[in-house]
Amino acid sequence: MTLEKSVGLGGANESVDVLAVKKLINQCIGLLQPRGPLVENGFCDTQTIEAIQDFQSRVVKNPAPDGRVDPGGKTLEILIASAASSKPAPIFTNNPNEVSTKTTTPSPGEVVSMLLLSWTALNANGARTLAAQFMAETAGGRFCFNWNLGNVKSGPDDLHMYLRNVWECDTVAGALAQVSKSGGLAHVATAEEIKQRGWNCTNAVVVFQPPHPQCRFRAYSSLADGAQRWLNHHKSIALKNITFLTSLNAGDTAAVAHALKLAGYYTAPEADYAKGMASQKAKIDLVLGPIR
Amino acid sequence: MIRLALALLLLLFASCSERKAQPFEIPVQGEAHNLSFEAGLLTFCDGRGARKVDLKTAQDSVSERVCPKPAEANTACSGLKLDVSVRSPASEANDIVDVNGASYPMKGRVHDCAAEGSLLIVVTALGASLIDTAKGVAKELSQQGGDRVAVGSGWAAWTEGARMRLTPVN
Repeated sequence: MTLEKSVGLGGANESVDVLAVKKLINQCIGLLQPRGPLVENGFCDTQTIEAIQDFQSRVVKNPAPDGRVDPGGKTLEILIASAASSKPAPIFTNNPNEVSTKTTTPSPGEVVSMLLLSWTALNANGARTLAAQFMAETAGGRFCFNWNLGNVKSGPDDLHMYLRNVWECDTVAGALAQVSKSGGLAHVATAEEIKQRGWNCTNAVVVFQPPHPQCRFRAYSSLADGAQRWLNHHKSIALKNITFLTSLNAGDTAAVAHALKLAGYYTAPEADYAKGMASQKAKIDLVLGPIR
Repeated sequence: MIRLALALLLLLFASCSERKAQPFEIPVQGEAHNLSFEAGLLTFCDGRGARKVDLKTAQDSVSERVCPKPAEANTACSGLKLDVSVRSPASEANDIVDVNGASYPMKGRVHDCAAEGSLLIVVTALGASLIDTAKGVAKELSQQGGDRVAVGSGWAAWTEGARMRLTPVN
């Protein structure tokens, strides 16, 4: 496989080349966890450039990733080799409840249909609004693995998977103590790592790798299965706050974001959360068309 | 009459002298684990072997129990009598505990969890919290990180570095 011209930051970004690079990245996306797959089209967007930089940094081990794939360059060479040798996601333990990690990206239509079936109090607009919340939390569904909506942790006795690079803020002494008893499954992040990942902690960052329990998450067999816990929690919120359901059905993303904030559902700034939801709602409305 | 007055005074003295449960702490050595409350005692294991703490006197002493291999800490709050979920949003440093339709953002990732009745106690790298799921309120017990936790007999206990902290929770 060859490229005609360069792809990425400052590249020519011919659509055929961009699509080829995106496909290669997706074939070895397991190396870039928890990054989700790229949308496969000929458009070189910010996510594509970030994925290239991530690949250069983590796989090519380039200390100064330039975010560009050049014809005949080292990044392309390693990208092709990695894609060719890409194997199914690994299993880390002999626990029969562990399954391999798979990206499960539902379409907006699938999420809306499932919501309408599972929560009869929702109207079509309400299902789209709630779907927008799910899409906002998972970057359009790209960060949804094994139908785990909300990144719910798992004990060893439930069906589970492992995600890499789970991070935690700690004191310096606490971080060192955690690393010392992790059996080699944790390290204190370097300044470079922190900067690259955008981890925001006052003191130290501890990074865990599978099969550390901090990396263990629930795995579900289907969207409907995975949505059950998530939906039940939302139904409980609706029971306590009657405006939640009416806001959902009115398509009022700002009011929904406010109700979820009141329920303690997220810790991000409310304005950012509402903005993310509104953006996803607009995309869903565009994809699904007018409500009849 | 005088005898009656003396008896009343003695009764009053006895009731006043009964110690109200107060928080206290004891030192531990190495990694403490298998914390459990039973019959007015906290039992646990650490680098010295099995220990027991009398909750009335705060006295820590050797226990004759056999220490099992340390069980894994309950980072997912799973297997409890309460229906609890722990969410770890990928972009955030803090876990969120969902229970009874309410969510409680923690300070850091959940390191261990324990529940009794409607009470849920959670320790993270940066604190310990007690959640009364019936009342829907959370109380911060400590701003220090912990590793292991237990709740029972009206008490909560959690490890905090080289010490074990205990506090009444009712």
